[in-house]
Amino acid sequence: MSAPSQTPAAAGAASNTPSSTAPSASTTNADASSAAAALKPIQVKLVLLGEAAVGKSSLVLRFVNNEFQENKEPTIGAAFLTQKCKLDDKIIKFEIWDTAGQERFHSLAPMYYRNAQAAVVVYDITKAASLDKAKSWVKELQRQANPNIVIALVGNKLDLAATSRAVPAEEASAYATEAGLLFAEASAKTGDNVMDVFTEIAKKIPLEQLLASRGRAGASGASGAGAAGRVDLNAGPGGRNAPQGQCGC
Amino acid sequence: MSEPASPARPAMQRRRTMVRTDSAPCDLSDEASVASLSPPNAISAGPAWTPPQGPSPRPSLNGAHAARPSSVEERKSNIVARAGVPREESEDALHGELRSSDDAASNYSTASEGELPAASAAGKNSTVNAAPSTNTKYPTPLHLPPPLPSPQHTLLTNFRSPPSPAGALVSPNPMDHALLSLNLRMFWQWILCICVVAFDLDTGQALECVYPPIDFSEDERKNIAFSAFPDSNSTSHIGDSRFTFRMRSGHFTTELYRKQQPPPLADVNGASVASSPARGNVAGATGVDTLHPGAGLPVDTDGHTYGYVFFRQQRDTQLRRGYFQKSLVILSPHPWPGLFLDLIATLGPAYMDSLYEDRRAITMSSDLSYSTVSSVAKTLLETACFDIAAWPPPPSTLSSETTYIPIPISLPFLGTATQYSFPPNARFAQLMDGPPKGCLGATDPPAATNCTAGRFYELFDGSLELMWTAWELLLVGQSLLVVAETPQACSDIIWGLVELLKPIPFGGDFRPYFTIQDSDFKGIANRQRLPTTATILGVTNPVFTKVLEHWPNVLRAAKHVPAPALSEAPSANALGAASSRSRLSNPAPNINTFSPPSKSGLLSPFASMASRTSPPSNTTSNRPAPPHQKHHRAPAPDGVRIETITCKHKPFLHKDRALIKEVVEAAIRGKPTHILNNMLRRHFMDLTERFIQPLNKHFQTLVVGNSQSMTLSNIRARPEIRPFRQESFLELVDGLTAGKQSFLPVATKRPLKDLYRAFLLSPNFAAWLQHRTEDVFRDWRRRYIAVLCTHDVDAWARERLGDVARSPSKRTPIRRGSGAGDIECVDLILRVRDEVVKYAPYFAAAAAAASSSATAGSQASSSTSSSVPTSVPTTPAVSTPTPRPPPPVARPSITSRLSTAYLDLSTGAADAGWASTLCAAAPAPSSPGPVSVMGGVVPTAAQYAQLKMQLQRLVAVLPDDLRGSVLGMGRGARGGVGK
Repeated sequence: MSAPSQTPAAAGAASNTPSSTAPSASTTNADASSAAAALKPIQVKLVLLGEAAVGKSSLVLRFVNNEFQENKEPTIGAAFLTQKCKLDDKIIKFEIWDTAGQERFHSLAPMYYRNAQAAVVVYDITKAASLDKAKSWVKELQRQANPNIVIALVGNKLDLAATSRAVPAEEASAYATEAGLLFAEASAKTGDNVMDVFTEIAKKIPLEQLLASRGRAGASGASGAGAAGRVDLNAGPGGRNAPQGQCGC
Repeated sequence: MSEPASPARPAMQRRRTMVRTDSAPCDLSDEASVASLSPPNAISAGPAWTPPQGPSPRPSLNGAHAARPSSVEERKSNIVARAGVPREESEDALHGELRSSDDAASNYSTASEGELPAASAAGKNSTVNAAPSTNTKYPTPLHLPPPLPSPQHTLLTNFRSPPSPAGALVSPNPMDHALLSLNLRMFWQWILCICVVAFDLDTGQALECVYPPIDFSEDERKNIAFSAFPDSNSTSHIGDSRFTFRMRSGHFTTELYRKQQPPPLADVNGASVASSPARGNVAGATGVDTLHPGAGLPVDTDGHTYGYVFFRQQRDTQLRRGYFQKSLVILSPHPWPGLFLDLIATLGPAYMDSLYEDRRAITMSSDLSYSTVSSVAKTLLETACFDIAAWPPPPSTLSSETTYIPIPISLPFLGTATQYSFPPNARFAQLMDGPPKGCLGATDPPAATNCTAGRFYELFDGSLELMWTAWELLLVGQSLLVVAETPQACSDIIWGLVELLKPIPFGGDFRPYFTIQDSDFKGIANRQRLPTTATILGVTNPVFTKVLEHWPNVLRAAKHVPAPALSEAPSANALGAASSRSRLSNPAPNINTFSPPSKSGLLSPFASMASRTSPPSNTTSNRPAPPHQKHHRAPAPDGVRIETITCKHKPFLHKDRALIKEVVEAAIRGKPTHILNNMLRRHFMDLTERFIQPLNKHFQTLVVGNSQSMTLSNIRARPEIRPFRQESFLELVDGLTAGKQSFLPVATKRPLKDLYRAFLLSPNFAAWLQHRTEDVFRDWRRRYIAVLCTHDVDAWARERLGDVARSPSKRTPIRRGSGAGDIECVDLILRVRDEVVKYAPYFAAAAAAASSSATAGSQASSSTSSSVPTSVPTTPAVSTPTPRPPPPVARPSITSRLSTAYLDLSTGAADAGWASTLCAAAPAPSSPGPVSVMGGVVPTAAQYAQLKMQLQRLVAVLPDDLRGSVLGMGRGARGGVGK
């Protein structure tokens, strides 16, 4: 989705049923047969980067708890959250590292994007400078992070687009295409597009590859989390897909 | 904009101006946000019976925050006051509460001095750059963050070390601004603090930084500083190493963990505060009652503090003597080397690297303002602390839910979430689920890391038969000197020994790494008598073999075949930190192996290690290592191996030759190390288990009664346990050993009775007995609390009172007649009240909300107080409450409205009034109690709410005059009724 779509918020409203049909992951099978593999959550480390106050934590909170909090206190260090999602027949467990945006924390960033399979680089569409910072993050990621990392560029605060947009969607989109990034504009406040960002990321991650590399070592400890706390990423692009409940985080 | 961080001492002048200029906008925002919370409570929270200041880290609608708005103005003036202008308003505080908030505010201003760096950064930002986001991002953490209740401010500033010469070693903390939003309550449950110890060429080791600041005694400072450094030949310690030390907890730590409250603030104030005269008193008066930052969730402690050290020594030509030497120490009350050594393996190298980064930045900027750069290392520490503060609470035997299986917890730390497995109690022997992470063949996700792993195979490889000797020595409480070359080696061995004895808890004193500088050195070493019982010392300094010549048992470590650095890399955490962690692998390997020690010459090992730094050779190891080793080298002991044990102990047991053979064969077949470890561990678990079986059996006969049959009528707070009599127990052993040769898995050489006799004399027996007793007590307490919570007190009390409540006119005569029922009721009320009071500090936040609403209700009599009903979950025992607008609740009115009283019960307001009256009359517990009381249990929040509910219900059932006297009576009456 390369265009900043004002996603119809209602579209996903009905599709937020938890994927309760998914069988429990407790049937552990030592060998990595595809059936067993599908049930075992695939861990995906995802890191959020971006300038301070662009709304990284808010995006995560929207994704994980479907909440929004005005004037959220700045993150110190990093916050860690998890969310289980279902995509097709696979269960993905996002391990989300929501980093602090302040410059003084920059030096710690490598700890967070190291071994990450996905990164969400966030900027604020009402603040042009934040896109520059985002670009420098992208550059750093492309230089130093896992070479296969899936990067999504997200312009947050879409709800302010009408009043105070400072970054034209086309500009950011063009940059994203050029740099090979996923791109979306989203609003943590309204929830627009937030799910889609993570869905697109999940789709782009080479899950088979992850599974294959993981499967060979005997699967000993499948975390038998119930199917209740999952988000169904197949629900299609629906801005306000409400995650049901929280998963252990 | 990299943020200038103050080097603390030199920056005094700059600070004040900065703080003031910058505080203005923030005050505005604070005022706005705080004012919207609940202004009227500011005063009303005062006389409440619970600590009004909840330690909750987030903004919540409780009384603590209500106190805040009034303090904003004061704070400003306090800042001014601290700058030299006298403060005006300190006298006209109306209430104790108000005063304490004032106090908090004034303390806060001290904190803001320390937080200057960020403040100045913010100041710069707002002037240089008008971008809206810079404004929003700084104020909250910097200036009186609404999320943080004032107690923490008070604490932080008060525990900052005094500006004595000694205190100067600890830098006045420039990280305070972030600390202010650190959830210390959660943080302290896991660790006490992180220290940096540096080697100063002039003064020697010294604490360079304590984060968060803790008021350590001089002895503690010295112990930490010296125990964090190798104390023997320094050239053998090039590289990185990790090890553990253990020291007796000092005053602060003891108060915090054993009593779950900080020491009286007055003490600290007296020492550290010169500038604000009014503060010391107030804080001293209110501090103990109101501040329980450590309370809230229970923490197990054995009275000792564990230091987990990462030490780095490397050549550094830029330094005067050509060496960089520094240690990072995590201090914690928990004996979980698996967890903390893992953490320090992540944090340590990253921290040291960041120091270098900082230095590079300094030299690059060629700017002498050290302050602008040191932030990388500090930011890292800060981040680590915030990670830890966000963790779920650690498992504790004190919590009301206890399991008897390992507890898995996933802990995110610096970019990696790792699964750890915790022992449910201190004597639990953990088996390994799989190869440790990072090893070849590790699964993905890797098996959980054991916090207390028994890496017996690795430690005893090549000397497996010594395990039985070691086990016996430990069992009977013989002291043991462990001589190794590096702190890492001796602490690994000592952890292994302690594990070996489980599931008997090791009851003696063990010091994984002990130096001659230790404040306990004199006590342990300098006596002309036999060694204290059951003391295990890990030492590297050759002096010990001289000083402790009279110790009969010496265990010596050999250096493992040092593996090439590559194959040892897995010892580091698998994920992340690859580059920095791999450094860990070149630590000790440079050290040479011991020469084979002759059993007579105690000093010989040291003679040979004098000055060798050459790459290690494999010449002296006793046996060639089995071939598999190279593939399955396990991480922790880092090649440490036990070589000999010298002792005068005559063994009771034969070794299990079959097991040794089996293990060796399995090793040759290439079984992974964790399997070999488990094979050995299972054997010794079995051995120990069977050894204590007779004791368990005997103990069970000593417990009188059964907690399961407890009801309200035969309630009993604690069980009766008859004393343990040696003779009768030994008779039991006689009976057991009479028929068969041995009920142990190994054959015996000497009469088992003697082994038991020796065991009964050892501290291990005492520890075992204590553990068993505590278990029984806890089970009992759990049942006791459950009975108090869930039984239908209403019906029970009515029955006791003979239904007098229904016929008020006849009340008096009947009651006189059946005094026993009254007494039973009052006794029950007091029981419940005692529990409510006792656990109040653990539920301070909820209590504060309840009490503030109760008092609010009594002020505005007609308003509905809503928070009490919501905070009290509906209890199963009672019929559904009928919420009504609460009646006017002034206490005198209670007696006049008997009939409505208990209909209104569940609306909360009236009864909260009674409950709080009743509880306020109770003697405030000097400490929350359950931790220091043997076998204490902390109820869940739901249970606590139920307890309060029950109390209200009980009081409501009472007839008027009885209630009046119950409410009226305080401490004295309590003794009279007889508990």
